Amino acid sequence: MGQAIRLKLKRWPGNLLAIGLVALWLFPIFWAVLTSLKTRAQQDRLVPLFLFHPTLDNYNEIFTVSRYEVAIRNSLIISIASTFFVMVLAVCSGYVLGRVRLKHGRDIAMWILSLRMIPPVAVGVPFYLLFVRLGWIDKHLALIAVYTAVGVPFAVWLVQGFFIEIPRELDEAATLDGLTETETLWRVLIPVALPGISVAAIFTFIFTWNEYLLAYLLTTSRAKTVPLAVSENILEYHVEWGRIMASSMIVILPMLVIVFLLQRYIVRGLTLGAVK
Amino acid sequence: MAQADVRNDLETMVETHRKREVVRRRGPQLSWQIYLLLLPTILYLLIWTIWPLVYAVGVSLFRYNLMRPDLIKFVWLANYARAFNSSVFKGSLEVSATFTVAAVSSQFLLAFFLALVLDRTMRGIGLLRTLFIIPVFLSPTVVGLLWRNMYFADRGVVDYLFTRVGLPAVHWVGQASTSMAGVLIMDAWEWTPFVALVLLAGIQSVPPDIREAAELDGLNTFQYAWRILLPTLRPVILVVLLIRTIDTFKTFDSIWNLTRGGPGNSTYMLSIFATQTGLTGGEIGLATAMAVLMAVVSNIVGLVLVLYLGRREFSSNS
Repeated sequence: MGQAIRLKLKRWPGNLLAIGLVALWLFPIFWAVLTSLKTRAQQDRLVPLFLFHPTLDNYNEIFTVSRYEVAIRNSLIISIASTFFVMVLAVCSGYVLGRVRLKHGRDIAMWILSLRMIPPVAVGVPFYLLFVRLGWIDKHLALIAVYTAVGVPFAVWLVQGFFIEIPRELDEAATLDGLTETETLWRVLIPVALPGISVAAIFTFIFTWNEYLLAYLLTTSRAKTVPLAVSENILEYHVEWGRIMASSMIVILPMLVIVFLLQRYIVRGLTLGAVK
Repeated sequence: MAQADVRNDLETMVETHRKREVVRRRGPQLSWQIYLLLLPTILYLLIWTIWPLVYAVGVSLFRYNLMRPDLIKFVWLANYARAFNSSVFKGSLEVSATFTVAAVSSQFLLAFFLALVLDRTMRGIGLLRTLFIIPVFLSPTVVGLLWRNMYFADRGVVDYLFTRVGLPAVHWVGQASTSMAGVLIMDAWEWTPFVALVLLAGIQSVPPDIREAAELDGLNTFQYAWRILLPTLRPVILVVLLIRTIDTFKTFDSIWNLTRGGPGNSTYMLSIFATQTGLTGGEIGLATAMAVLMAVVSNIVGLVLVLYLGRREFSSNS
C-alpha cells in the first residue's frame, strides 16, 4: 500500500501536511455551511463574518417558502430510476464487451465511449423539440429516459473494465462445476464485480442528481430537480445565498455517508477502468 | 517414483485438455444469447443518442429561431459558415481551448503532488480522502454559485483572507485579466481531487518489489516519481487525461454560474456561447451547429488520445 516509498517526511509532518491540505481544501464547504446559517444581514457585511449567532432560518425557508421537498422527491425518483436502468444495461453490455471475444467488440466499446464526448447541448435541442411535440416536457419518465442514455457510456466503460479484470480461471472453474454461462454470470461474476458495479452506480447516481442543463430544458415545474430548485434562488436583483447554501448542504450529507462507506471501492473503481 | 510422476503429468495433461474441450464446446453454443445481452444497450443508445444527434445535425441545417418559428428556412451549411466567420465563435473556441489545456495540465500536476501527500497509512486517512473528494460530488451549478459567493469583490471572503495574510486583494472575477485564473482555481478545486484519487490508486498498485528496489537504490521521492511512477502509471494517466480533457472542454454549469462568461468575453466558453445562442437567443439552428462542432472537436481530440493510448485499453482481447 505504498509503504516503502512516500514523501520523505517523518510521520507527523507528513500526516499534518495531509490533514492541513485537506482542511484548506475544504474551506469553501466550511464557508458554505457558515453562510447557510447566516441571516441576510449577517451575509451582507463588508468584512466577512466568522463568529456570529447562527440561525436555522434558511433551512426552514427552503421548505416552507419554496417547497424544496418536491425537488428532492423528483431528484430521488429520477436519479434512482435512471441509475437502475443504466446499471442494467451497463452490466449486460459490460459483461459481453469485457469477457466475450466478440468480433467487433473493441469497436463497439470504443463507439460507446465516444458517445460520452457529445455536449449535452447537442442532444438537448432535439430532445426539447421532440418532447414538446410529444407532450413529454416536465415528465419524470422523459428525463429518466434521457439520463439513462447519457449515463450508459461511462457506466459501460467502468463495468467493462471491472469485468476484464476478473481472472479467466473463475470462468473455467465455474464451467467445470457445471454452470451454464448465465449461471456463471449471475452467481460468480457479478458478485465478484460488485465493487466496480457499485462504483459505476454511485457515479451515475451523482451525475443524474447534479445534472442541470437537460433538466432545465426538459422540465418546468412538476419534475423539477434539485439543481434547478437551488438555482431558483437566484432572483432578479439579488441572490438568496443563505438558501442556496442551505439546500446544497442538505443534499451533501447523505452523499457523504455513502461516499465514506464506499471510498475504498471508489478509488479502486476509478483505476480499474484504466489499469490493466 | 518416476512412474507416478509420469502418471501425474499425464493426468494433469488430460485434465487440462478436458477443461479446454469443455470450454471450447460451450463457447459457440451461446453466441446468439451473448448478442442478446449486448443488443438492448446498443438499441437504446441508437434510439436515444444517435437519433437525437442525427436530428441535431438536421436542425443545424436550418435557420430556426424558436421565437419566430414561421421564419424557419433550410439554409444548408450557412449556420456553420456563420459560426466560422464569427469572431465571437472563434473567441469562445479560444477560451475553451485555453481553459481546457490550462486546467488539465495544472490539475494533473497538482493532483500528482496531492496523491503523493495522501499516500499514507495514518489513521483516518480514509476519512481524509472522503472529505477531499467532496467537491467532485457537488453539483457544478452549486460549485459555480459557491465560488461566485466567495469571490465577491470587497465582501468576498477570498480577497478578505488574502488581505489578512498580507497578499493584495485580487478581484478575481471582477476583471478580465484575472477572470480566467479565477475560473481555473474553481475548476481545480472541483476536479483535482478526482484526478488525485485516481493517481493515488495507481500509485498504490505499484508492485512491492519495484518499490523495494527503488528504496534500496536510494531514490528520493522526486526521482521515484519521475523515473518509476510516471512510466508505470502511463495507462492510468492517459485515461484520466482523456476523460478530463473531454469533460473540461464541455464545462458549462460552473463557469456559467460563476461569471456568465464575463467579464466581457474573458471566460466565454464555447459551451456557454452555444447554450446562450439557443436559450436566450432562440437561434437553435445556429446553437445546434455549434454544439455539433463541439462534438466533432471533442471526438477528434479523443480519437487522437485514444489512438495514442493504444486500442488495447478497450478490448477484451488483451
